[in-house]
Amino acid sequence: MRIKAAFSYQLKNYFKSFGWVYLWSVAVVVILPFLISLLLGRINIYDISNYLPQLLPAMILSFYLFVFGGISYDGFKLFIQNGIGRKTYFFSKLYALTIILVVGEVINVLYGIFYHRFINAKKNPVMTFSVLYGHYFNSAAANAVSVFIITILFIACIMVTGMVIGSCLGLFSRRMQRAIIVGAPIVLFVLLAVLVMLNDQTSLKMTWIGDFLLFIVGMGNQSNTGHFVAFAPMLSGAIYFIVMLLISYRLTLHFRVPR
Amino acid sequence: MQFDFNSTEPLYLQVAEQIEEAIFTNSFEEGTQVPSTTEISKQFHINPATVLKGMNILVTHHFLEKRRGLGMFVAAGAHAKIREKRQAEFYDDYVINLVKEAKKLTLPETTILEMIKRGFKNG
Amino acid sequence: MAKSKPIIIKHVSKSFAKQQVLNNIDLTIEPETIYGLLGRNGAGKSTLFNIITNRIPSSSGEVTIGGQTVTNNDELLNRIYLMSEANLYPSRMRVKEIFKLTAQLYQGMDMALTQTLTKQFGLNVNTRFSKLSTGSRSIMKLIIALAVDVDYVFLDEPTLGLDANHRRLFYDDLLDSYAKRPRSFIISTHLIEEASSLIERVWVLQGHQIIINGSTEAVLNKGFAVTGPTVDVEAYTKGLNIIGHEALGNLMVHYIYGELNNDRPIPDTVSISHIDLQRLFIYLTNQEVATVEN
Repeated sequence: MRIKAAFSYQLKNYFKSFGWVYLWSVAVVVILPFLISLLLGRINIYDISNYLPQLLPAMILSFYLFVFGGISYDGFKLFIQNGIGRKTYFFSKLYALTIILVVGEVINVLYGIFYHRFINAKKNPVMTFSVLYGHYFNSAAANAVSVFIITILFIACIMVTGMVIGSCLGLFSRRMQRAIIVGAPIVLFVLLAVLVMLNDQTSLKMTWIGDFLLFIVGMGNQSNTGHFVAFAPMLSGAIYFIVMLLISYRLTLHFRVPR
Repeated sequence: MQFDFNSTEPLYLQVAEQIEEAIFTNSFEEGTQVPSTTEISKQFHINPATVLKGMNILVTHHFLEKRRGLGMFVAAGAHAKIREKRQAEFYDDYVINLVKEAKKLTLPETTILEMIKRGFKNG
Repeated sequence: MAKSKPIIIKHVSKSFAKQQVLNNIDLTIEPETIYGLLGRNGAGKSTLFNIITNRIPSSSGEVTIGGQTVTNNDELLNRIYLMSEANLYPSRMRVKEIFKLTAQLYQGMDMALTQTLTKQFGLNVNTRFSKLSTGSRSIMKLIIALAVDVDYVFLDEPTLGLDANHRRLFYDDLLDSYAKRPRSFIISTHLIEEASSLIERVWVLQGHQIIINGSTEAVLNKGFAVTGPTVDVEAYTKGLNIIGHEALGNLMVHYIYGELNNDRPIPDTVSISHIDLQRLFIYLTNQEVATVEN
């Protein structure tokens, strides 16, 4: 297997693009408003906490992994031209993105601590999911670790969703892809409308779907926020991740060029 | 050296003939090295295997000799051997065709002999 | 270096949406041999190359090296390079970056050779791939094809967009590279004349099948033009495999592929000569179904 060469190539490129996405996001979200208020002469009322959302790096990371997880076919094209098959392409990409995910999440946590201490101490905990699961265990360390895992799994699920969408689109020609990108949201919207209409008659909360959703997030009957069952999202997240990963893998094996 | 890729003669025979001709006209002198398979192949865009096949014909005729690790050399006495070979082939290569054509044109034997005499005198 | 194992193509068929392109192709690609794949436009040459290099799956049959399938097999795919019209390199990448990434993903690449060749062909390595002309793209891919360390180089219409000088230069470099590091080249082309002296073995793809598979010499040996008065020519070629004919008044030429009948005396009025590969190809592929025994 040429996995080592493929992996190091992918990782290098991902880090490069990840850095660029970070830089641009910071430029757009932080520096641009700063410059505008400078131009308008209102620098005295510029407050960084108005512009620097606590979730910024988490959003960048999720967005990045969704998009770059979704870019599948172009990578495959390049790899098959360079004598590397679909399997190695898939796994090298998965491993490289996973590294980005972990590194990105560590940055998020550090940023969270920084934000908590220097920018806005009153609002928000270090990790967002603490609000839901931060007090499930008795030890603070166990809680921190479990919330960290849940966060990583959550972003991994976003990533793998991007991968499935990307590998699905990769099977179709450019023209077909455009049709799907335009058509799929419309179909989804119609489906949702139908669901809402049905919901008028029988409340969604009463059905098994509602129960199921509550079970997934780990909201038991008697648990308060912060005390949701931490194992529930871990389990459901892991299952979702694995199933979607398998789907994406199977789809990737069907890539061909020319399509 | 020149090759006619549209010719009906197999390319390896053309290679053999061209090198033979070069030896016969002393372009390649006895005891000297002839261009390598690769050189000829590159120069004339001929597959090296084809070139080698042509050269090997000359080796079996002892016009060329292989020197291990060095390449192909024109064998001693190659020039004389080529002349001998061509003399032996002269009847088949020229006379038969000449007579065939003469018969087609209904030229009698005596006329042909006269022509040959004239040719020798003028040449 | 140990000689690599041959590529075995066994019973490979391919259809696109019920339209058959390849029907039961059986071929063996030996190491260190230069092959020519000849076929008319749309005969399926590119499809065959794409299947061998695992870019598309075959409908049935398999491609193996040393008993292993090439499908998603990096060890084998890494010994093969396919240069084709398809542009699979990132369009924003510069030529030198593409060289670098090729060196990274393949097991080896002669970077010194890429430098020599880019200079020779006058290719600017700082140009982005998308900004290259068709000819320059061909040149870049050909440079990679010659520099990359593989055992099998597939060249699908290699000289597309190249002028006469560059075509000549390319074949020079190919033979030079072949001499220094013997490996297999499989060249598909419709410009037969420029490649015919190069190729050791020839395949002709026609009617979804390989109708000719032999050494170039043996194939050329079986091609004849029989010229003379119509009556005499027809009498002589009766029962032979006539692949084409040309008539000029009473003068007739029959093109034959196969053995002549040696028991039959050749009439004085009839002359027989061999024909070149280009012409042989044209007549063989002109027929709806060529009747050819290999």
